Amino acid sequence: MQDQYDVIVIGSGVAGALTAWKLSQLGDYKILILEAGKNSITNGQRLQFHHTMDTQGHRGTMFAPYAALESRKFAPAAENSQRDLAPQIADAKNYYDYTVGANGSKDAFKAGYNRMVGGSTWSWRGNCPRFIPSDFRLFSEFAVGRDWPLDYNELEPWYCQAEWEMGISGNHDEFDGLHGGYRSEPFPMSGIPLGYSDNKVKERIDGKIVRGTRVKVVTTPQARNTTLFDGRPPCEGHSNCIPLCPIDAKYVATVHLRRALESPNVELRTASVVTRLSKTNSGRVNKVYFKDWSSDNINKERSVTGKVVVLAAHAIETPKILLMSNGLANSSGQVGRNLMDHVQFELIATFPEPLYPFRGPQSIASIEDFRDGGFRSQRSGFRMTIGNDGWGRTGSPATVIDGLLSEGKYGAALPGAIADRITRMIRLSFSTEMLPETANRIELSGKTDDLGIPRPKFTFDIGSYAEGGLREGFETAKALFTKMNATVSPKAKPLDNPQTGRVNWNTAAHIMGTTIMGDDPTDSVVDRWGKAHDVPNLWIAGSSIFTTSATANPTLTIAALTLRTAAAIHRQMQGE
Amino acid sequence: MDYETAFVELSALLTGLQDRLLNDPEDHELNKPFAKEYARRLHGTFPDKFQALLDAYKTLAGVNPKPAIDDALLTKLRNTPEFKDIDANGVAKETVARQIVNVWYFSQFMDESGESIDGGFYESGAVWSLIKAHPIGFSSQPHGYWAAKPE
Repeated sequence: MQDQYDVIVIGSGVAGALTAWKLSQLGDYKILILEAGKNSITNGQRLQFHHTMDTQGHRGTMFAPYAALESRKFAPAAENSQRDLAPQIADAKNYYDYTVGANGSKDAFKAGYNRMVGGSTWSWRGNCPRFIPSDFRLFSEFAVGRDWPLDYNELEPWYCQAEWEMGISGNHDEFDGLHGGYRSEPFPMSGIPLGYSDNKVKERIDGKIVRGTRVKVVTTPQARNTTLFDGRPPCEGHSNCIPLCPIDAKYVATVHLRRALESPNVELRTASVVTRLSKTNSGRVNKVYFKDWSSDNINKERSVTGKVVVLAAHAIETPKILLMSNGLANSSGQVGRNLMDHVQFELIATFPEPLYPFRGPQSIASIEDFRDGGFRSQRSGFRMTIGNDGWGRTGSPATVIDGLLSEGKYGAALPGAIADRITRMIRLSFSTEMLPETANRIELSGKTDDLGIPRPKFTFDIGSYAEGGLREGFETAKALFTKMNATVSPKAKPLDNPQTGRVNWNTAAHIMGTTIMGDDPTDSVVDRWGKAHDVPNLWIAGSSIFTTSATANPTLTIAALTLRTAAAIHRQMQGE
Repeated sequence: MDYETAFVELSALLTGLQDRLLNDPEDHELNKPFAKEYARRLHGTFPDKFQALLDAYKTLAGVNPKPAIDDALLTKLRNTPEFKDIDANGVAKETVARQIVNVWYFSQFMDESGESIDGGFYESGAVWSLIKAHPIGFSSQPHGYWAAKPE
């Protein structure tokens, strides 16, 4: 194996895969992708992952199909992070560490991610709304948060490219002009057909005024095929989106990894956990150090050199690598800070007639109307999704049956009761926006993993801005259920948690902000193109560069920014 | 009454899946292999409690004339300590009875720590046809089928 490359890409998720692929198309660059995980990306691997779930009992968790991977030991992730703070701190095996005490973490950081070849798109739902224009101008328009150093108009053509690369299905008329965000091109595929359940819900609420806003039920743009696209089949409605589409109808970064690896100039090295970067006296990064856990000497630090290095290891491992690199790229002090997630919650109810959930994708329809407005100066907006998966995270069909047995409904009464209750399960979820706060951060823990690499240590507080959005979302969900004549379930979780004194919330596992983008090198890590302010040949791709979190799922915006950054890298390399 | 017959009858009694497990001769035969494996796995997970519940059922169902497998028999079974499985706090956990229901409806069940155990026949869980869906991860229908009301 050679050790000198034109470009070293750290991470093989959607940002790393798109970076490697795009650069391989733009030039004759020798590209190395370093990936901490180790798994195949063939169809056979997909089938193996699918059948792993058959024997597990938990088919819905994001890590279920990947439980047998050896990489879990050497490239650990927080697989049990969807817990409150106290149990996470009490768990000595937890990958996540926390600051404690008066100035310590107020909330758990619940978001997890995959350290696998193909990254977290192995586990994502596939929802792909764009940011809206005001998401890029939060400070200018609402005097909170920050402004991005680019605006929607500048990113719009890259959104179009990303949609074609990933294969996004959607309905143009529903999203062209949404909150001022025009679309210059149609979607590559028309939207996923609304389900029978979605149409039943739509009949009752579409066009109605709810808490001062007129509601429109639309089809969520999704990285899920509605026709044969890019050699991948249309969705067959397996209802398994998270964690795994059995037939590859949902985009996974492995699509672009396979394409990148078709080039003889692109090499993928797996089981390679990066430990640090080093720089020359001129301030350019030159070496990437890593440990190969598949080798005979897993603790030996090896190195490769690159003319350009692209960090694309997601928003926890990317800043962690920089923090382990002796202050590299951190003159601003912002590396690891401005940590954000999409804090969300759901309300569950029983619909007045059967909806027949668990048929088709887990969520097809959304309500985009609450994402923007003058209220954003005081509290977060939110994006709502209508579930097609019963009671989502709050309760499964097994929960219903358990409840029926507790009512004594064994025997002849049971099948009819099951058919009645489960078919009328519905959930509304609402996903809010966090502000970039420097106090929300990851640092290096004194605790290490099995390779002796520091774990991430969190200080996290969801903040009053997001909490305000959660409260309004909760009331809006209640109001919508009232309009539908649906009955909020007694099993619904309350928003306030008297035991913790905090609010209950779920993570969307959308980790953002930890190497924030900005024009000012004193308060940002990367410039408007994704290049580190301090290091001329270090670039960062992925959601760690997000300036604001907005309320849109981040992957499409990651893809758009990554394609744009790759073009900038190419321009730089051509100019040198 | 042999072990397998007792388990199938007990399962029908608890789950309400009389037609599938007893009345329909074809379904009865098709479900025999599932019953054998489910009994094996349940017995392995709850070695004493499973046998105790089975024995309690055999005692009730073994009288002459044989009682109908109906709600009257269910009521008697529910009054047995083997069904109730009362814990140290006086709470009736109904441990094995609940997991027999789970294994037939989901082909999955839980041990006493809450750990999920595979039943071995995920696609054959009874819940999916009952709610007019499909086992999650195993659709056999074309794109867009979900737009129509199931028949």
